[in-house]
Amino acid sequence: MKKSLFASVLALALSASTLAYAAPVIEEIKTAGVIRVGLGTFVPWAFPNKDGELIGFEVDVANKLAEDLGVKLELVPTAWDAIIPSLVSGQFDAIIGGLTITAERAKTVDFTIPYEHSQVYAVVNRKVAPDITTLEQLNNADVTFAKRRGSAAAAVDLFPLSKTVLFDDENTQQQEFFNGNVTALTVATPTQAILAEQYPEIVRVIEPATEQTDEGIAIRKDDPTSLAAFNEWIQKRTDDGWLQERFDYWFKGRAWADQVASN
Amino acid sequence: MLPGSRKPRFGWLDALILALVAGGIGYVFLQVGEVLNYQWKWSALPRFVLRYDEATASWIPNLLLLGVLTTLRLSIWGSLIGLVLGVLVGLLRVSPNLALRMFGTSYVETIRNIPPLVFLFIFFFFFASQLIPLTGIAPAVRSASPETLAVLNVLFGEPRQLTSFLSAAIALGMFGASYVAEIIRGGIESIEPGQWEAAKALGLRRGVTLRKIILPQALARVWPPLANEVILLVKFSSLASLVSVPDLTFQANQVGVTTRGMFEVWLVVAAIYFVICFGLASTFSALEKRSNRHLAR
Repeated sequence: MKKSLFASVLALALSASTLAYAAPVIEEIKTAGVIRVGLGTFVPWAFPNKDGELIGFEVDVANKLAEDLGVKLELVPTAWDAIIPSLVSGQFDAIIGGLTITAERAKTVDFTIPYEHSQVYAVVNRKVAPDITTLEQLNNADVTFAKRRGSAAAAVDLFPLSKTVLFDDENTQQQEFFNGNVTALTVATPTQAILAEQYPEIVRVIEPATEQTDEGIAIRKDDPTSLAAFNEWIQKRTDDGWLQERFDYWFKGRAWADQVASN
Repeated sequence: MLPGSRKPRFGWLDALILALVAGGIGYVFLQVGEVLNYQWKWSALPRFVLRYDEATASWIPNLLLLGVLTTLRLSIWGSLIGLVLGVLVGLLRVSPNLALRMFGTSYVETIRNIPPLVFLFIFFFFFASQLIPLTGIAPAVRSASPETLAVLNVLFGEPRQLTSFLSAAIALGMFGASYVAEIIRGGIESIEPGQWEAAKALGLRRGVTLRKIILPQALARVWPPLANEVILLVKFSSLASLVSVPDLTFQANQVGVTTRGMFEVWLVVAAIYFVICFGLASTFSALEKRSNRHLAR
């Protein structure tokens, strides 16, 4: 997922200026009896259902974590560009929002071990590029990608000859693609499958995935006690298969489709 | 209509202009229909304004209407802060004391020359995030009684988001205040010096003169630009969505992501903002006419 330059500069400035948080955040959470979790809106990570309530994989993970810690959960839906500065400035205690672990972000926040793994796929507009069926063909000066900020880096390495247009959110990125102004876009699982199902005459998913990514819980820096506690929880819920079961529910199947307003 | 001017008539030029405008709008819609590969889905939207809750058998506001309420609250608090602070700073700007005058000038020039979004980010992430925890508002809200929470909910919206709401309202107010201050200063300086001199001749002190004689006249003169400032502030309030205050713009984004109907949502949201701002503009001009009735006689 993405993060703008401005947001990262701001976050860096903040991490330098913010006072060191004395107590581990895990202790603060237990004392307050509440964990505040920041997340962005992406289907099916976290998004409002028809009744305006947040649902999604990240919401399930945050609920389970709160339940296991014995505290209440406060979800703080946050503009994605502001999510890291908001964490650093203390608007919430942790990001559980499908935030991909990257070296750049790790300079500003600390990541736990991954609790989910996604793939990034290149999707081609059949009408614009009827002949493109392989990843190799995408590495061409005639190809333009629509990407979301932050997910761009890896694809640039794979397709150095292609051009890129960056977007802030999924909607505008996909609209540019459907308008036929770009050849291809990069999306994370399971968006490519949803798009292929909805627009079979336009969408062609190119196999294999261009990138494997790991997503972790992010907390403020220099807090080894809390990091260890979250890591332990993730390990436990990985070992007992709960995380995999929830992941499969949201990312492999479409059992949740009737809760979404568009269908 | 100016006295003596001709009665307006609908001529061929008017017809041509109307035809051109209608043609232009029609062309845009035709293009949207043909060029954009877009499936219009209006049906998903109404329930994001109001939805029927079967558990309580009643209609309850959903995201978009909640967003409108937050935008209104944000605008009202922002305007209040902006008007009060703006009048104070405006008075500083005309103070005989050099230090006070310089303080007022610094405030106005600093804030007025920073883009509103940048000011909001700086205020929100640097100041508010350091200062608001010191006030202990967040823990106090968590342990507040249900009655207190209900009052807070009416005044500021969802109490759990009180701190970010307050930060955004104060930032908007501070931003608006820098413009209000200039309007107030202009109003005060537009009052003829004879008024000051007459008051002085009557032996009134400066504070009394300002309060009883100068400000009432100045405020009556600057009423239209002040109203304009309030309307601008409603529109600026959409910036608060970027620091995650769940206002109309923020909720529109949420609804847009979940319905994948970006155009529908933004068209509806534009219409809502238009209705709010146009309504305010009409109200203000009606009030202005009313308050100026005595001048017409």
